[in-house]
Amino acid sequence: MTELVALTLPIDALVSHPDFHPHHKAGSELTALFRNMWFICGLFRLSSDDKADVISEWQYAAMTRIAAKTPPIVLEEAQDYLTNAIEYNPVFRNDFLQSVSLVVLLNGRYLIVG
Amino acid sequence: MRGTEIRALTPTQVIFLLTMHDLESMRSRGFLPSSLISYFSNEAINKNLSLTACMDSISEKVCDLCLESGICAHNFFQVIRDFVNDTISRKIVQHSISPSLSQELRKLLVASTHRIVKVRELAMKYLQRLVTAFPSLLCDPPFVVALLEVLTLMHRACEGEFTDEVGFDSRRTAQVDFCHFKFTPQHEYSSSRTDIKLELSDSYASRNEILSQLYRYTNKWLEAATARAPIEIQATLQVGTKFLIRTLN
Repeated sequence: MTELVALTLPIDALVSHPDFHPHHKAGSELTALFRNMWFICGLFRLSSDDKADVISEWQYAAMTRIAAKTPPIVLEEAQDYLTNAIEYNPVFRNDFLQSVSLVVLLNGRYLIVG
Repeated sequence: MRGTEIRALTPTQVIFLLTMHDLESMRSRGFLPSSLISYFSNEAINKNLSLTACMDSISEKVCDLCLESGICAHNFFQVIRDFVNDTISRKIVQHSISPSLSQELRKLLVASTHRIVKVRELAMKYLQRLVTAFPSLLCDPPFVVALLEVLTLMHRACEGEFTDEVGFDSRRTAQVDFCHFKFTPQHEYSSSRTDIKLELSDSYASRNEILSQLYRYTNKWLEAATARAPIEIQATLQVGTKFLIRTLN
């Protein structure tokens, strides 16, 4: 997980370029990359604003800057989005999905109900 | 939120919802509300009622967050004070919102005319909440011009019911001559004065409903804003009207 956290810095540096505007008319490939990145962050709670999750202020600030430059991750024209992009997304590998799924499910349901 | 809806979710769907919550919370704190609408633009997602019920709850929370951030940060307005002379000092307060927020409001406005009902309902609800909480948003000339332009385009789109061709196609077969009319509505409407482009449904009933709702809300917003700041609103409308007249010529 520390490797994932370390990746925040170069991504933040990349999107901070004033002439890089991925949030305007991004292609489907770039959108998929951003989407998968955010899915990983959601899975490991790297983008959480909950004080119970271990995330530093600088990291949250960096994630906020990346969020501002992220294109919309759900595309209107994407076919079978629920199946292809969510249910059978290769990013959700079975091994770590099983280990974190209980925590994520509890976290998610608390979040939605709360 | 009923427990049955949450129980029906798969782990990957829960991760999707967590992602939506985290990402849109960050964006709403940065006054970037328009991306929330896109989550409801996909047909496959909209068909899953349990998922969309949870997404609705998250949308409400994200909208509340944006409003709270706006109230706390006062980030909407830049106050410019201009002192006239040494003996009589007069503060002239001009209101303007940041260009990025102005653009976000325009995106929400365009989304309020979307073909998908869920998208336009959410966009209008979000816009209504923002403008009701901060009526001075109507002091932003680009937003007011966009409002007038969208109303004009929607009016033109509704008139298309009576003017859109209705093409005429006649064929002759061995048995009978027949002719039929082709229904060819125009779907795209764009403004040459601003960078607004609408892609509308071909249902004229739907277009009329969108137009009447937008007209009703615009009236309500302008009335409320005029009651609070009549001079500023009048000035904004004059700036907007001058811009539209200038671009016509």
